Amino acid sequence: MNLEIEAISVAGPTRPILDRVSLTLRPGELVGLVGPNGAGKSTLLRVAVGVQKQDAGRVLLDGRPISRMSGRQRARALAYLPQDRRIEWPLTSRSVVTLGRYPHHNGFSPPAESSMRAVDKAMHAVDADVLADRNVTVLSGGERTRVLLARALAVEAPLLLADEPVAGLDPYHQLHVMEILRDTARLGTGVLAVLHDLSLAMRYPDRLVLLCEGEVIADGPPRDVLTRRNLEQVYRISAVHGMVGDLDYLLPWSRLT
Amino acid sequence: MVRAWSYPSLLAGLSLATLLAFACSLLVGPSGIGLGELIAVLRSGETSTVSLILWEIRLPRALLGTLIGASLALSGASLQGYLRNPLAEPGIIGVSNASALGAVIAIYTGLSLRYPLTLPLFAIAASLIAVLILQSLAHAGRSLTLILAGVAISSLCGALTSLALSLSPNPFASLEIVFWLLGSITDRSMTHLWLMLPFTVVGWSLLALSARPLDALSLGAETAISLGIDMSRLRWLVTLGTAGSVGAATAVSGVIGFVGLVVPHLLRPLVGYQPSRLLPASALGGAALLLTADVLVRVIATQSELRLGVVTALIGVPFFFYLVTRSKTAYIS
Amino acid sequence: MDAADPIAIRGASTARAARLSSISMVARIAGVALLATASLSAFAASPPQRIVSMNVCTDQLVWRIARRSRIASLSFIAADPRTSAIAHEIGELHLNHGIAEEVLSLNPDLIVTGAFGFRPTVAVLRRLGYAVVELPMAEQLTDVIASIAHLGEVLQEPSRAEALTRHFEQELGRLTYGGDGPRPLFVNYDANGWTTGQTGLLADIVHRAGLSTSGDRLGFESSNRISVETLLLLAPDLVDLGYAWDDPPALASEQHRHPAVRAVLQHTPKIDIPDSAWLCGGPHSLDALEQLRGAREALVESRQEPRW
Repeated sequence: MNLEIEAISVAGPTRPILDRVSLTLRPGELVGLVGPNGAGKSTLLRVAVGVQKQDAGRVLLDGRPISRMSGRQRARALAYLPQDRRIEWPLTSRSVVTLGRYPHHNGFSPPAESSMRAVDKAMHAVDADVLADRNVTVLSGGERTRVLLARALAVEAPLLLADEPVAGLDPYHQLHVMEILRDTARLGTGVLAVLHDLSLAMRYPDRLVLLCEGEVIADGPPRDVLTRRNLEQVYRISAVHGMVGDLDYLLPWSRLT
Repeated sequence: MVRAWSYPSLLAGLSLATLLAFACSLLVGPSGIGLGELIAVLRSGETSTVSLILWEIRLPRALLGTLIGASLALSGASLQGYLRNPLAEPGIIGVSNASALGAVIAIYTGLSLRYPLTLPLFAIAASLIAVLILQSLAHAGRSLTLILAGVAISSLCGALTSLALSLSPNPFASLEIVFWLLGSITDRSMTHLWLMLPFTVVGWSLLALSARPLDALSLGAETAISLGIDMSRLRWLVTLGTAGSVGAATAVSGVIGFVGLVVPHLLRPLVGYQPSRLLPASALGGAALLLTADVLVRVIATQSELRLGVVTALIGVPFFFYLVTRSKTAYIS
Repeated sequence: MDAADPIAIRGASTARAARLSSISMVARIAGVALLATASLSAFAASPPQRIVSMNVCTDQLVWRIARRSRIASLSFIAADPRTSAIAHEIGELHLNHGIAEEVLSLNPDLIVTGAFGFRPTVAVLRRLGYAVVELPMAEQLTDVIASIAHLGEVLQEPSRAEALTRHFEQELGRLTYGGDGPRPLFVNYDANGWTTGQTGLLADIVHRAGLSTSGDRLGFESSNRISVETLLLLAPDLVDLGYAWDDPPALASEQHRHPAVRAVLQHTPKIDIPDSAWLCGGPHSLDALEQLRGAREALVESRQEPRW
């Protein structure tokens, strides 16, 4: 299933938050959405999922506008991991992940076998099996993010949109989550993730989309997007670029004033 | 935290408690009719004063206690799930006091004497208006503002109720503020039950439909929307369900507080914090609690009637303090 | 009436006291006489010309005893037909609300009120030097006689008072049931479930009519509230469901519309005793006694076999 974002515009108080942004997400690819703070990345994801309404433009799933789909159809096609990681009640991890099956459930009947397997699979994918019966309030940041990611994976949607999936995580968990996202994409899901870490952005995604002040500056393989020029003009930094084997790394080095 | 009880056995236990309380409610009364006499009446099936007391006074009272207690707790659980705030209950957000205002206007203008249906309808209309004002004031997202707005509406409606009663030419009206603000189901009849029943059933149905969406809401509004929840529909379900069931209940019994607050709190850990499971459990728990309180009202005999709302507050507030101090970290995410 | 000798008045009242037999009666008279003495000391020799009554019970007695021309004002409740037996008689008379300012502006030479009058008002009036007479509430019908007597002196209308007293005593003797026969149960069920006990003016009237009260049956002295259940189980022989208070309504009289009440009491004889008859003791209280006595006789006759 393809996600097509066509010329989305969202007005803001002083300048547009998004200005005719277009983006395509295809199955099997991991696309990184990058850009400085305030570029509109989270807003774009919210519009794509249907949480926020755009002022112009369309979002299409395989050519069908999401505005014409029912909430359920949309939910089965698009899984979303929001930036807000709050969980209101002290639920068990398993209960949280099971919530991801909501779009597939009908009424009050008990969950089907396939649902339970999906939940198990999702928890296994994020390595959270041992956390299953633990209360989410006692989990560490990394554990909680993985549980919430499992919740999104449990939807078994062809598309996954993740807003800052590695925010606040230590290096171990950052790498872990990125690996999970890459593996998920390999298995056929289209993944769009908002990333701040330039090294991670260079290493894992197949493609990057660079946003600045609501506009798409570049869209292509990481090397072609995180060029020195773009880093200077968009991020206003200079960075050190290197390679380990055939993998690139990028270290932000100094601010440009 | 491990769930101590399984869900079916919890529901069974609560149902049993409700049945017991219902039976006690039928057995207790100011006229001291014994169990033997009541059984004899049931057996013989003929009409006598005792049988009339049982069917026309005690039975409606027990049924009303069940329906009202269930409505209060059910709507409390739903509101707490929707607002994601453990302090939410129909009393605090102003629905109960608004309903009382509507009912008072229907009764003391003489309207309900001519058209009995105006009693529940006015109460429900008033609580709907209160909820609509609440929503426009508080934009549902920030629950502190919502609670504050609810308190404001609650106070305003209480004051207007008092004003309406003191303006009535009927000499007894101004004294009846006590009934309206503290609640009672003494000496109500089956008529009140029939007036209330359709709106209660509709209200419950709407709240029941909100159960599963509330589960998804545990992860926040954005995740819920991404899971396919129509937030606007959910808001209407919770709003209309609360206004309908609590409005009809308050029209008959006056404002009864704390049931909607304490029962969901008490039961939430026992259902694994899952909102959809909390709703049926709360309904049963609320019925059991209110029936028990109503039995206590009759057992603790005082010269002037001990009000139901006083008993629920005396039971509810200490529990509430206990819960708050014991689980200080429970709701920090 | 011409100026009467205060000593002659006192002498007449002592003689009247001696005529009455029961000891408690003497005690009551003595109490009233003390009050009379206290208030008489503030009087001028001529009869009061501007009488103000601030209490509905004293209103009705003053109306009967004093000349119309000497009454300056009665309380506003005197015009309420539910509570006052003279409501339709008083016509265009000034009605006061028992507030000191209002009363003062009437320039009274005598103020009459009930013993449970609003204390601050009474205190203010006394402090300003006005003559205030407080009549005790009638707890039984014989108290009425004492009150009429006392007022008769204070208002200086002894012959009118005496005529009233004589008529009252006669009627009382005629209407009081003195036999050993059955005493059917009369229950009055007022707003909010209030009913009469063993004592009090209404209880006295009911007893004299040859009936018994809720308080007799259930064992409480002063008026009490009973639930609908208790009312139904009492199975009264005669019931007074009180004024409907329906216009506009309140919750107070909802129990009268209760289906169970209607069902159980549908065959019970009903009687409607106006509140005015027993809220205040006065000559009009005899109407209630007559009504109840008549009802009793009808009940006893219609019974084939007594139930009690």
